[in-house]
Amino acid sequence: MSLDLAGATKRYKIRATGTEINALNGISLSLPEGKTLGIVGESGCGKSTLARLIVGLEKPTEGSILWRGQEIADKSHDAFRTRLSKTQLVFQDPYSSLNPRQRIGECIAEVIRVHKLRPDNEISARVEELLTVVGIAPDLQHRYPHQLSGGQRQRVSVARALAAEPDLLVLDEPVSALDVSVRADVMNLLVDLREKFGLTYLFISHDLSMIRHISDLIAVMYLGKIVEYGTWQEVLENPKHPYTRALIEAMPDHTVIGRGNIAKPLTGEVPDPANMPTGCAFHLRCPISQPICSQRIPDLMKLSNSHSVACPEVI
Amino acid sequence: MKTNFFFSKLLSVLLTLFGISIFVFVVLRVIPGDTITGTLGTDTGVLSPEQIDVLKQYYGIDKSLFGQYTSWMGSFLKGDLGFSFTTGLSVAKLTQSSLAVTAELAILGTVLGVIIGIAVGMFSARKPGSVRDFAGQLFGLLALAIPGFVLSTTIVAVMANKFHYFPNGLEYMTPWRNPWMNFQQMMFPALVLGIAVAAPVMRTTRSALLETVDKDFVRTAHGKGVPARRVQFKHVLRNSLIPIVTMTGIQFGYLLGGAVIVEKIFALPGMGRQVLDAINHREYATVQSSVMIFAILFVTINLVTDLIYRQIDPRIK
Amino acid sequence: MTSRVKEKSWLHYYLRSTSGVIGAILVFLMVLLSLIAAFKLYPHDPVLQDIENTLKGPSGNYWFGTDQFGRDIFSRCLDGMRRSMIVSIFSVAIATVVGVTLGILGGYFGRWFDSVVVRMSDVIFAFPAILLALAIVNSLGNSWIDTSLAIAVVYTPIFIRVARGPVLSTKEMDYVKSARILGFSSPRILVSHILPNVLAPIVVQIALSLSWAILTESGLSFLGLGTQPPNASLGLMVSDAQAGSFCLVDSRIPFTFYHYRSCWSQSGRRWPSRFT
Repeated sequence: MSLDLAGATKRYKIRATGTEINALNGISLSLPEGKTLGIVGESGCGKSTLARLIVGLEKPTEGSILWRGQEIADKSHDAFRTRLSKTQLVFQDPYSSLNPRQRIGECIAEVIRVHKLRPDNEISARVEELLTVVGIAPDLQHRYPHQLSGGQRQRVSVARALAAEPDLLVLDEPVSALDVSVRADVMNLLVDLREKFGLTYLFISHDLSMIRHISDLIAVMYLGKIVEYGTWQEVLENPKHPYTRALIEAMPDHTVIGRGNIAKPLTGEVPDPANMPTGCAFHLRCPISQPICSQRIPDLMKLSNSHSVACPEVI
Repeated sequence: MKTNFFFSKLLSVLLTLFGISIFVFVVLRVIPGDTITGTLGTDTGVLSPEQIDVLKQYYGIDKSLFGQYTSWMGSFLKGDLGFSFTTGLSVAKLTQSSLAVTAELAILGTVLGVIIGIAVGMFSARKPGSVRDFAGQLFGLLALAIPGFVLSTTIVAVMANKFHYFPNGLEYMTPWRNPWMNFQQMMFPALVLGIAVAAPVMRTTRSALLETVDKDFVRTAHGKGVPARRVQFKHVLRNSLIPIVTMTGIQFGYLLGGAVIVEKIFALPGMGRQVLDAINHREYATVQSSVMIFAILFVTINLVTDLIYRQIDPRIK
Repeated sequence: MTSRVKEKSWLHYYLRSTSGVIGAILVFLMVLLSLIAAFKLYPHDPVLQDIENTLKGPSGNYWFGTDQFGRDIFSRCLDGMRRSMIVSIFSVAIATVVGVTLGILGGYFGRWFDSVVVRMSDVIFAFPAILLALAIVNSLGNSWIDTSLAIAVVYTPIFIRVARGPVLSTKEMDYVKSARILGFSSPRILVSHILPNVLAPIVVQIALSLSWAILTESGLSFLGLGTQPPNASLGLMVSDAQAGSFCLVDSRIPFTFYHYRSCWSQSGRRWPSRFT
């Protein structure tokens, strides 16, 4: 049982210019149930698009996304008949992810009531239970979101997602909008919840130090493609792709084994997705780029059973 | 990019005008049911079926709705706006003279309104929170709250009863025939419309000025010793102009509506009076064409405002 | 069990604004006077003519004097106000319901439906309000329902705009996306997640429109196309006053306008503040 993406592609049409951009370009990966996959990349690399596809908010243009062998956006799917998806999403910004006109208890109760997950007389007990689980005093259930701190709001978002009793939780930069002082608390909460409910996480972040804290597997994305994929030890301690290396290099407290090829940080901007470079999307910023890189689009190649990288120059 | 914008804007205006023509057609021709009953009232009952058919043919309502619409639009576009029986003139001819009256009134009203509005706005903004500011704001509030027809009737009553001065009681004079008389007849109606325009212009001016005064470039101008009056006009007012112009454009459109009432009170033979008279005389062709012309004017003014707005603000490309 | 946070209610903020309180008192007075008229508690019958007593000045019996037909102006004011209120409330209610519904549906579902809604409101916007109301009243008739309908048509596009704009931004908010991921139906999302968050500008617009509608109604009556004589209407009374006795009382209309304006725009402004 797992989450399986096969060649998932999402294209958006830009109406003003009539051109299409590839937000996601043939993503294939497999995440076993109960594990946590960390997805890392700069802003605009398609991480959030991936999140929206996995929770069924949008449909892939091409390719398939299967959860437990069933298409997520498939209307005949059992969960879709009740319209409740077993994959839920926690958004980045705790200030816009809760309805400002809804008391937080009601926001959780609504999920349970609409989908009849509990009999009516057990709903309030369930709301209190969920709030307790995420570390919010049940007294606070009559408050409006603006009366809570960012960390508390994010906990409420998690509780609301849990109310739907999901199996897979997509966390889209869940702590990056929070104060540094509360990040660790929320991260620890997420780890606890994973153990407690046997959840599968897809943890999206631009910050490798957060990813390292929680992930079993790591995928590094660049401009809509996965450039390196492996267990956290493989990716963090033996990074192969020059982009992964650059990201790790940029982490203040991490030393890379076998650094050498890259001593300088990344230069240049991420290319415009509407105007992609030919060949390898990274070659313009790559410290080890070769002339052939502008002509050849590299595929993800296996280094070991679990570790693969999309750069022929480092294999 | 710029011509592109112009054409897409033009296209959307044309689409809107098409919608307007259908709307006018539906509201004025379909809903009242029948021009014949509208014109003859209960007398329709005594007509023979043949007579009704002849009348239907005469009014062009023997065709299908679609046919009626296309024949109306066809002749409208050719400049044939119909015939007014009470005046014995073609609607096109009527419109020619009445449009000039309304245009003169609207332009005078806008100019007056902008002058009064900017003056009071500057007067108010000079010292926010002071007595002058309060007086200026009170003016703005009253100008907004007093309907044009109350102000107009007050002016008429005071002028006629107390001073025995009422130039509008005399025959209307075009500016070509008697400019001085025309000015006297236009002065008060234009003032009434101007005051309605002045209120929002005053408010916009005041807030735009207050906002600009705090900007760094104004402080710099003061700092380098530019005389206060020059700063006020050259730096502050000029940079506050964009919202003022937008507001004026919007008001110019509304002013056309106000003209309907003001023209009636001051007995000016403008577009508004033309519509009203046609409604009272149940001349549907005249009403239909006049309302359509009103709408075309309105849309054109909005388009022009939009274009001017883009000209003034170099940031909008 | 719960320790509810003591929130300062919107009433608290409202009562601190002077113009808001003045406006509220005046609107209350107007409603009261209209109610007096509604229950026919005025001192004289507003349409009863008394040839003996035409054009009398204010007196103990006729508080505001009498008009050229000897009718009591005070009673006519009360009854005129009642008519104006009914027409403005009725027309704004229709415009609000229709406009807000179309605006929210158009903004939320987009596509062709939205284009049609926007184009329709552009068309109606292309007429000066009073002219359009005139044309419609001309077609429909002169009863108060016809007048209300005409004014409602004129004001509907304003509500479409006021509702549609915020919906476009609100539907992109993460909490609306969350609601979709959580499998809520579109009606539920529209009613309980989008509507409450676009309400503030609508409330302000209702307040403004109520006052404008009174003006439009009196304008129509003034031009002879709204309330018909011998019934009383504020606009009609100004028109009659042209003939002779210009009555101070008629300046009530602007007051009406201002009361609504200050009262409601205050409440509109204060209301959302507790949520932000």
